[in-house]
Amino acid sequence: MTHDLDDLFALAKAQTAAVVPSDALIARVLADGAREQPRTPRSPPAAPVRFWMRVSAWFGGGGMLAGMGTAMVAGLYLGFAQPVALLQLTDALVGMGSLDSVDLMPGVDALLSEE
Amino acid sequence: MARDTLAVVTDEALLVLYANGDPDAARVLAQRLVPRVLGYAARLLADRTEAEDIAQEAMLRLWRVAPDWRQGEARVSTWMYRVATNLCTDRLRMRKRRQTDALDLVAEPEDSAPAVVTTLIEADRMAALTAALAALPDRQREAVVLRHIEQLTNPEIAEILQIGVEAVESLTARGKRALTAALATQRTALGYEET
Repeated sequence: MTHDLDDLFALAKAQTAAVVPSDALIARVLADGAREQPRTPRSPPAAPVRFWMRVSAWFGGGGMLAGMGTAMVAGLYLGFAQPVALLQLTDALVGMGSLDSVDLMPGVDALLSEE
Repeated sequence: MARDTLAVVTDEALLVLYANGDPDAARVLAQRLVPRVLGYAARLLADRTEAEDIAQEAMLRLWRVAPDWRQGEARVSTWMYRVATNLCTDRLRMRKRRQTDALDLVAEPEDSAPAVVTTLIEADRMAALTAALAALPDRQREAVVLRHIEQLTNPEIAEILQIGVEAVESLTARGKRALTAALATQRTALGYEET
């Protein structure tokens, strides 16, 4: 009977191998596949060029623009605050006063003085 | 990728291509896998229409798992057999709950019986085997079909049924003994000579 069973298995295998899916089934499977298929990642849309990016580009980039901004703020501060030492220097340079000495490092004397 | 190139690519690589958006990968995978799953499900369920539903559902699950597929962990064909087995088991349980007699369902040859069965005696033999298989417990039937009809190895069957190899050997041995006993009384009717 074992041979009979093997014969039946062989027959069943041939029958299974001969199974042909219908066109309708393949179409349904492919439709599912198309619906479920991940879309290829698209490159993100180019960001609009903003005003400040264009301005910084004119001056050679953001770093240059930041440096120029800092210098501008420092200049404004010095113009409004007018420190005494700087006032003496500018007076001498424009001939409005005499310049005997300019103390460029006013804080160092205290450090160098001996107890 | 070119279609003739896809023909020699492994199932696993095709699945990765599908997940990456290759439009031809799905078609090649379907051509390879649907006939196998359909034949297997038809053997377990003895119902072509239900087997088509199983094949479509198993393929749908494959499409959905594709983006998360981890290469090297399992073969696509083994994974498909496992999914199809579980889906068939669920179908058979539903049938039983509806108190449908599975033997009655499989006793009549299907309209879509393959053309390979060219003689009445072969049709009778297939009907007898189908009926005897349907009478087996689910696990025995699955193990016997995977081993002796799908001709998978015991380790592959163990992976599909998620049991040990020894358990597979035991299931197939018991299944074959039960089939032999069930068919023994029909030997003459099936055209086998008495010994």
